[in-house]
Amino acid sequence: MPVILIRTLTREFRIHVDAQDAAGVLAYIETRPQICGPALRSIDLVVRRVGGFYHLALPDGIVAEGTASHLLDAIHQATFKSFVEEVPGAPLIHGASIRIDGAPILLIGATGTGKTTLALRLVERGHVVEGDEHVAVRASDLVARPRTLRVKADSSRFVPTLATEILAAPSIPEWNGSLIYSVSPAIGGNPWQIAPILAPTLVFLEPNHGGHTVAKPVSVERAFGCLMAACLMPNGKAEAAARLRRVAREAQAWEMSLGDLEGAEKHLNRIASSAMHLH
Amino acid sequence: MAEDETRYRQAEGLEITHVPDGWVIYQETSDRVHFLNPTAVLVFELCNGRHTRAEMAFILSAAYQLTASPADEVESCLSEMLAESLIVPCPSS
Repeated sequence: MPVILIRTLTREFRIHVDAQDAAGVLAYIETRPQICGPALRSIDLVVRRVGGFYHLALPDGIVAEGTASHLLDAIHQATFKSFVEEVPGAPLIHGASIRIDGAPILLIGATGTGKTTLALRLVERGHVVEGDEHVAVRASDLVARPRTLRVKADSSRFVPTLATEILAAPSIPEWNGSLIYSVSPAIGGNPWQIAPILAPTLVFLEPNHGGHTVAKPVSVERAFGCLMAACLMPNGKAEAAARLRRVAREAQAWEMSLGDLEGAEKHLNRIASSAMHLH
Repeated sequence: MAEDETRYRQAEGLEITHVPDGWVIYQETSDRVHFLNPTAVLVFELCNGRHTRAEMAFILSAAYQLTASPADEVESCLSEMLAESLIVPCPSS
């Protein structure tokens, strides 16, 4: 029976699927990073075919029944809830976590700013990418949410050496029929490892479609405002905002108008080098 | 012109967290987060129902050893905090 593994920070969901077609769909949310920290607690779940649909009993007594796509949504929600429980009180920054020569950098930006494409480019160049969706701000460090890169077919042309592997990755159709692929950061050959992030450099992305990439440093106040705007806040917002304030205050922060990827990579190398000198 | 005798107090329902360079205040009623720098914190703390604007300016002047009165800065700070409902005027006695 195929088994889909989905790791969060403390748990490993092992989803046993008794139907090959459902396994093909659920492969989209397979998430297998190495997580630094204590051993993960295994949670075994079974997807069974019942008539023409599927049945899955999730933790907390939740039962999902329906098509494989419906189950995929339910599992996605359950694993996200698990992650949120694992980082109590943490604001979630909408951003990618990368490391260039060991220097941690957060690429922060809304959907459509080119964050995933840039992350893929960095993977292609041998840099470490931990995730590209959320980074949780814990009391004394930060950590990336374990999640694969979600890549539009069109983006594969920007990373020609990875294109074949991307287009072979598990996919689901978008609303308009085009496919979106679930790509492991291990695609470039580096192991996919998620470790605590200390003293990251912040890079706020703005799209500059078709132009050159430009980067400039920003003030603590601007960084704090941008972080607040790019966050999902938990209950206990004052404490969460205070964590963001500390991050903004202790980090070097940049705004990057993201155009050409080659320019972006050069800027990031320079930013990483500057961060390494500081530390 | 008579001196403004209005005193202020901090609004109810504020969740305050201290950070190294100031205070972060979450205001549940408006679902807004505010950041006060150390000077604004001092003005905010003086909104305890006991001090007029002129007295606040005098205290700040002494605290920071200023040669000129920071009356305009206090005025501006109070106006912003009033606009954001972080403080409210005390009823005159």
